[in-house]
Amino acid sequence: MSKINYLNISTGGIAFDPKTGESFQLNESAALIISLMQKGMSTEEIAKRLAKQFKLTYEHALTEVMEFEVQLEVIGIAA
Amino acid sequence: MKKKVSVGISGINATDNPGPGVAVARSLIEARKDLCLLGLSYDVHDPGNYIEDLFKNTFLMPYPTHGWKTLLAAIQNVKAKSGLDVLIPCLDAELPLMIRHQSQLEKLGIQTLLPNEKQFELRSKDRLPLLSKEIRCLHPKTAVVNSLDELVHALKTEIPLPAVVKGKYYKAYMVHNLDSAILKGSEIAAEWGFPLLVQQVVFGHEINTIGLSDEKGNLVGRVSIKKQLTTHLGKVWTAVTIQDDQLDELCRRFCKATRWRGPFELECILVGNQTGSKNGIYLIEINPRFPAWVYFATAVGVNLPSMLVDLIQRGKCTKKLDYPLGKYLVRQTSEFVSDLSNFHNLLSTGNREGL
Repeated sequence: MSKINYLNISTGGIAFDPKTGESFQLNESAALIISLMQKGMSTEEIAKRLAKQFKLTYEHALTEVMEFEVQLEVIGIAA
Repeated sequence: MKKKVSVGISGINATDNPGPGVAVARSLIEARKDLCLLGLSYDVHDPGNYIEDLFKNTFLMPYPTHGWKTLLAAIQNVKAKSGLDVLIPCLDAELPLMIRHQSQLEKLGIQTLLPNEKQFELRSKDRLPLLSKEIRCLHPKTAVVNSLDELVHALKTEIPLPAVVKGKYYKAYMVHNLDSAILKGSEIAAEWGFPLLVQQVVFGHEINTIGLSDEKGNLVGRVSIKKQLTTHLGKVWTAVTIQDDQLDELCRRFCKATRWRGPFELECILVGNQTGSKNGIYLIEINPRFPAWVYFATAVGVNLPSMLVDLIQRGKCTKKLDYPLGKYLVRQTSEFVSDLSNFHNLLSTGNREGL
């Protein structure tokens, strides 16, 4: 199971990793992306939701989601 | 009325570098009314000596370096004056003596749950590389040195700077050059003697597990934490409960390989993808006793000291391996006022109540 599924996200937008004890502060869009990833949605599906919620073009949202996924990999959150 | 069970607890130095004794006592007092707690102290200034809410009486003990005969006489004195049914030693330096002579304590009617000498030695700092291999975890490169010359030689040839210089029982300092290595090595050796250990620095998340095994080496209780803030000596100031499958498995393998009896703490570094070191869990140290943060486990529902007393008295306890994650420990400083007569009693009679 991907490490992303273990993250607990508080209402204030802080993600807590119960495996390492690390906490990460998330902005609104990051919190949304992680919560959708935890529901098993694909990158494209998440981009559609992000575009709708933040009034972005689909292409812009897709780039944002893909860049965020790379960031998660770099810090060891996503495989 | 049923007679209370007298439990002797050492390590009651609740300072900025605290021993576990006061936290053990606090855990026991919260869980049980059938115990009478006695503090065993090595210094009249130990704060635990003056905490009357926890300890019915406290006794000054001779340093373990005075030998077993002297320590045993002091233990017998405690038993004669206040009864002593159960002993929970909480300091590394006294454990070798207590372990070697646990059958003698048993004959005196003083029960313990301690590892045997072989088990105790398996986890000693200088043999940890071998045990790490056996229980399949990583261990930082470590050299055992018996002089300052050997310390310098090890740093020039085996262990790159920065490195950690450690005493066999207590203290560890990160050093960044040979001068500070000699300074810190001399400081530890002057207090605790040789050998010293020189260890490779591993960068990652510092994660620790506190555990308790029964007399057959079955793990009965466990809590893992990540230290968030530490003192300059690396002692926990804030921490959070965590759960990691690899760490749990390591804990289980440790108990199985050593058939450990009693409390322990595994100190580890979890290395992810952020450093040049090989990824995985590095076992840094195994403490053969409760750590000073034992009350954190109690506060999240795993009262290991109470479970230990159950194991000692009844040979069994209710297993507790689950606990809430994301609970946050905050240590604080605090003051209270005692009476000077307590200090005088400790000095003149060797115990707070002046018996």
